[in-house]
Amino acid sequence: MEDEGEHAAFVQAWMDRVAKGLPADQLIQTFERGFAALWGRANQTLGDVTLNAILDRVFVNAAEQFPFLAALETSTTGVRCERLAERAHSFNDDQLAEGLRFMLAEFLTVLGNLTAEILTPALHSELAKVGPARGGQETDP
Amino acid sequence: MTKKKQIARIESGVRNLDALFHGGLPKGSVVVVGGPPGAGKTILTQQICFHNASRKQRVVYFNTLSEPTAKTLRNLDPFSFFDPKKLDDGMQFIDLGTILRSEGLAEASNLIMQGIKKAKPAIVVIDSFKVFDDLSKSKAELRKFGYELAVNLMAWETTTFLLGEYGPRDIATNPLFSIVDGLMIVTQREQSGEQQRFIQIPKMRGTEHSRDEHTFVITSHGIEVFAPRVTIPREDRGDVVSRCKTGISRLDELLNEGIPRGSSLLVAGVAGTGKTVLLLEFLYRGAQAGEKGIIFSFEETSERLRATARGLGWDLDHEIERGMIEILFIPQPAIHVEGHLLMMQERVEATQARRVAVDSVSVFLHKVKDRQIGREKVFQLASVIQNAQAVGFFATDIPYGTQQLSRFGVEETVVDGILLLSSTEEALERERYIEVYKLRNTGHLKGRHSMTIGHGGITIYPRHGLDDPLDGPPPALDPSRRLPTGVHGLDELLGGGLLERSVTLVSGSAGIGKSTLGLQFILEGAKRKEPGLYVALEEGPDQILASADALGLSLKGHSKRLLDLVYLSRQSFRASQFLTILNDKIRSQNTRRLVLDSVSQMVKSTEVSEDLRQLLYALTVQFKSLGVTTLLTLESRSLFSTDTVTEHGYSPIADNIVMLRYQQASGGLRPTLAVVKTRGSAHDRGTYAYSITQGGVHIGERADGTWVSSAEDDPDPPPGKRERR
Repeated sequence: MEDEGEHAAFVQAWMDRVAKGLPADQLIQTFERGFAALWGRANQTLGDVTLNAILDRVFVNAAEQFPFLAALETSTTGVRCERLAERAHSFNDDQLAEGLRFMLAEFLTVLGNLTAEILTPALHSELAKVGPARGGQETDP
Repeated sequence: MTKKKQIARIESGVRNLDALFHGGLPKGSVVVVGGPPGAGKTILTQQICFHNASRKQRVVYFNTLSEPTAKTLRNLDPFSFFDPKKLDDGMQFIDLGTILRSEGLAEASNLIMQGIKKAKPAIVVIDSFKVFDDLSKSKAELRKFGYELAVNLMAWETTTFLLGEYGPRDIATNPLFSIVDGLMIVTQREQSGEQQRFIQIPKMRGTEHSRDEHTFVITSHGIEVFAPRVTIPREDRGDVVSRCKTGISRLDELLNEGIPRGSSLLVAGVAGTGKTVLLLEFLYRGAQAGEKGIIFSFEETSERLRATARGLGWDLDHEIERGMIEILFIPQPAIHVEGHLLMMQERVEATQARRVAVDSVSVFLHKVKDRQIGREKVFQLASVIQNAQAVGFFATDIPYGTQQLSRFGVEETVVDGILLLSSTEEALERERYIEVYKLRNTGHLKGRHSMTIGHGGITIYPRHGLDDPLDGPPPALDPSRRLPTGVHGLDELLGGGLLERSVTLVSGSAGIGKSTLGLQFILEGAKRKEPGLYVALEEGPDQILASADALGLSLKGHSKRLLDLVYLSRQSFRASQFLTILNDKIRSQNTRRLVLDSVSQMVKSTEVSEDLRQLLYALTVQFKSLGVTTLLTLESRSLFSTDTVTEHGYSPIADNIVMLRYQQASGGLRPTLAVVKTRGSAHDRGTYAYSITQGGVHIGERADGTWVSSAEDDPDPPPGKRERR
């Protein structure tokens, strides 16, 4: 299996590249686009029912470690972040970034475990395509 | 990232079950455990759960509308795998009964997922899942429920067991079985005269697995699966063959270079032919040679086997005490073929036994009615031996009055060799024989060989046949090397004495002087420092000594090394044993001259004259090979007749024939002597009168009524072809 730490490192590198120093609202937007990219690619292979079940598990785990992530909601594209964004001002930026990084890494880890990492290259590739919210240096999916 | 990932496995903690999955249950699988009530579904699953449950690897066990949790716990208590501490730390029971009764499927599903989200278990059990079949309003609802549950369980990477009283019909029609990853069916039914439990894995995604039915038992240790077909694979040990010498008297002579290690041999015979003794001695001699051995006895208790050994003069007890031999007695009613096969495998490996005895496979497999299964079990037993590079002796009882080589008639097709033990009635006695009927990759002596069992154990008397002489054919006689006979006047008739290594047949009626001739021959040798052996089959040693003394032929003044007198009683030895006994004697004494007095006794001791002819031939070939000059005496029924030398057609085996006959003479009978045949030498063909006085036989004047014979003529034609001369 892909080491859980490798997924975390990949997500960390991506966030360092596209979301470092962003204010909370833009950080959440970037996260939402990144998650949507992963969801879209995984959905092609696994379908809604499976992905929702996996997301349910990821939510439970994430909310245990970062209770503010309980404000995230599921949607047809993965997660909806409106409620989280509304409360973003009350969070520490580093804490928020750490929580969102955990969400992405946990999603990749569980998917990796369940699919024997078959989808991992494609998922990493999709996430890498997601650029910063401003500047337009990277291509949005 | 692109390399193939192995699916993680979980250990079942059930003996041999993981082997059926080729390495454990694929982690995250949803497995149905089906079977009728009482088949062992719950125990199987709980054993797996308790084996895996820990603080880091939690187990959630949902009871539905089946056995109440309290009862489950009570029933678990007797099993050794049950650890009550795990109930607080790793193992959680949740009763869904109330919710199911009041709320139905949907709420039950929510409750299951809540429990899973809370505990994040590695293993989930729903016992029984069949209740959802009963509660669902339609197949569609059941399929939807099953699918959603399976997907959720998948997302949580739990290994899930869904228990239910599912039968073959359910497997074909219930939608659950297309959703789940695996299916384990446990059943019980009567087989081979007793109730047996079976486990089968018809389906398991993500791994190769056995699809056969395998037996299992439930003991206080839980479930133990017996799957010798899977767990006793025959391993390829390459081409290097090391061999085992049995150490049993003369058996190794039959087996030539020895038994290839890894071989299994049937020791076959009807009751009373010595199978158990052979097995025991095989182990005993091995232990003495430093090889560990083990016997699995299904007939005799350990104490009886020890007593048998003591009776034979073996200190088997000592070998057992020092760990060289292990006796495992399994009473017949307790035999569980597959279970004991695995036990044998374990004991052979644990003891590092190099010799394995099974007494007997007939009893071990007596409940197996299917010949094909019986054959498979013997093959598995043989595989245990091969994998351990041991040598196995498997006793098998041949039914009386059959031509079979084994009890079931299939064992011999699997094993590497067969030692066939038999016995025949000979006169008032029963004689034992052993035959190496088959031994793969080994040249061995063919035919039946006499065998005795007495103090010290088994003694075998190898019968070297015409096609397998010990040291090849003897060299030709050398006309320049002759031995004086010690009989006044006889050497001249023989052309200067007996050729060295020749065989001389002295034929004559009782009392005519054959033994005296033999004694003179031996005494002459002793005078010349040529070790001589006088083998008496008729008279006892004292009588021979007294008769010799009376003729002034004292045997007493010579050392045993130069002149040895051996009496072989007909009661003690059979004709077929002579070769071995004499061979030993000749080698130890370095015998140069030998008298066998008389061959007639051997004729009386066997009814099969063709066998005796072969034996005599083998004897003479052997004597020649060993450099011995031999004189055989043979009693003739006729006092006068010169028609034939023997009544049995034995003369072709001799190089020289000396015929002693009476002639009518004035005043009574007079003994005469004629040399009727010498091989490779000229001789006097006249008939001579002789006398027996002090000093033995003295050849006298040429007798009247001489008759003529040539060395080329056959003086002893086969019956029916005799011609009056």
